[in-house]
Amino acid sequence: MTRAAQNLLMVLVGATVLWITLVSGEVLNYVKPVLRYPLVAAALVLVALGIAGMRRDWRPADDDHDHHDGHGHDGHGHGHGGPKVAWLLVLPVVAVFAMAPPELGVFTAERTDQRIQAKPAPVADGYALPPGADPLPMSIAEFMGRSYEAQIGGQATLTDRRVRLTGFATTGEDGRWLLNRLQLNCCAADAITLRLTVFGAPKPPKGQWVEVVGVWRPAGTPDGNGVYELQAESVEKTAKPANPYA
Amino acid sequence: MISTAPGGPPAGPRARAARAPGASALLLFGCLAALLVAARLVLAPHVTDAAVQAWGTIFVAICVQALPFLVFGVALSAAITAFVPAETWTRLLPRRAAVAVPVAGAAGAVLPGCECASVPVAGSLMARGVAPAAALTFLLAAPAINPIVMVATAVAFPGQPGMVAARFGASLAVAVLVGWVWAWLGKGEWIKVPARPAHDGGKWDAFRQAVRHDFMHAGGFLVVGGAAAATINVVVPSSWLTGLAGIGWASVLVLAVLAVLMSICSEADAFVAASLTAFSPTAKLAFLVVGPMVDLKLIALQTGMFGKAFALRFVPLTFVLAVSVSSLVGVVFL
Repeated sequence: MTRAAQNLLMVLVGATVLWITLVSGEVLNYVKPVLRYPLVAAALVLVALGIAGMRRDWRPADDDHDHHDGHGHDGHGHGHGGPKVAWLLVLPVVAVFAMAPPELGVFTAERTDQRIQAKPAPVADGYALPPGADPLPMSIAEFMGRSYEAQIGGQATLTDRRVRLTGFATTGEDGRWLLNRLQLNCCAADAITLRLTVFGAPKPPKGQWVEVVGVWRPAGTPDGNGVYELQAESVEKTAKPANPYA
Repeated sequence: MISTAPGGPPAGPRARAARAPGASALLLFGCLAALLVAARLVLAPHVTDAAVQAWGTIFVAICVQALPFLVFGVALSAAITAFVPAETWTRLLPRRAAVAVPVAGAAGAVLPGCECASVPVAGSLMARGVAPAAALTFLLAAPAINPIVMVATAVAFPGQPGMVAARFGASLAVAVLVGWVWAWLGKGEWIKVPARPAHDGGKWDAFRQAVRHDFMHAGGFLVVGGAAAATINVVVPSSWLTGLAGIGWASVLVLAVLAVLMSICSEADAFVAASLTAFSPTAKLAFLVVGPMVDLKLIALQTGMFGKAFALRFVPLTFVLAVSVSSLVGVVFL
């Protein structure tokens, strides 16, 4: 691999990251929002160093220098400048543009064994729900956390309170439909599925993003099937949120 | 392949560069950008298979997630290579190997370095008179326990400082133990100490070249690791991994072998480990301890750098110690 190719590759990788982060926003399909800042910084470093390397190559006087860079520095048999394996850096760039990978959704949610429940998020200090807002917008993670709390003998904070949850629909193993949201720890590779069963409303198309307004069903409600359940009052189609993950 | 297609034969851009500086590079870049935009418009709408899409998302996610850690790790290690004089090391390290080994291990905790970078650094340390055992301890410790890796581990395992501490302790212990075993049993003729030519050009040039060199090496292998991890994620049913994960000692070995096969950079491996949610903390710890010390790309680098006789002894020794120590630390502390 020539030096020119290496410099070009650095600019290419950096520019791709800048594109998905600053221009298209696709980066939220892959990682948590907070990572955008170090990503932009890293991409700028790559672009700057790549361009600096290209500038050196434009000066014919540097031809001499070229050879030292390739052979001497390397010292472990990779030959000229860079190893062949570095070409693989093109792959993620090509994947971003040629595949346009969307956010994870139905495929990942359905792969997760329904019996394996994600560990609910711990409920924050203030246990009581804030007064006012009706229905109260809530994350699926918080709903599950509060529901779990009630089942293990803690406070039942959700009782008779209308909440609004946003997620996408899938079909559960017993034929009822589930409201899902994937939660990232770091990036899409570690996505875990958060979900609850919705009662009292017809099933939306698979993968459809919906806003469900409803009331919590305590575990053990007759004809219930599991741990996290919601009695729906209304189900409305909605657009995919800017950050599709919890 | 892609870069030469629009620019003609490899000699083309350079020959023209003499006449119109930068023009050919810009042209090449423009052609590439146009190709990629065309791919987005023409190819992307046809990629509709859910499994392929999920593979793409996870593959890109691992690469994107690891990139900042890789770039800053490489930049810091390059800064040290370029701006710290070589003689500093021999002055700082004690003469006796048995004493120098733990010092070299501790040095690994403060000096960031990708594992790919640490192989040539260890070679240059030996070439400048540092005891091989100490240089090898540094080779193992620097990529495993440097601050960037520790921060990445803390980010990947939020709310689990025990994992960060266990990774630090177990990795340092393995690095020092390997160094001591080598100082005790190792023979000089096993290692082919490479000659290191000095850099010419300015320090900034050396810095830029070190960044590019390390980024090219580490980045390429990172892509391999990302593709392997994405494939495992999409292809292997979660019930398989859950099944293996359920068998205590087997799960440790499975993740240790997986770490060797996946060859992920130490700056990024914590994120992959965190994604293996079905496995026990001890198995994940083994993955984190083995990965930066023994993997396919490192074996290749070490064989190339120090010779086959070296790799045949060093690699199994490190693997066995890494698995034993991380099992022990995991069982006791996690």
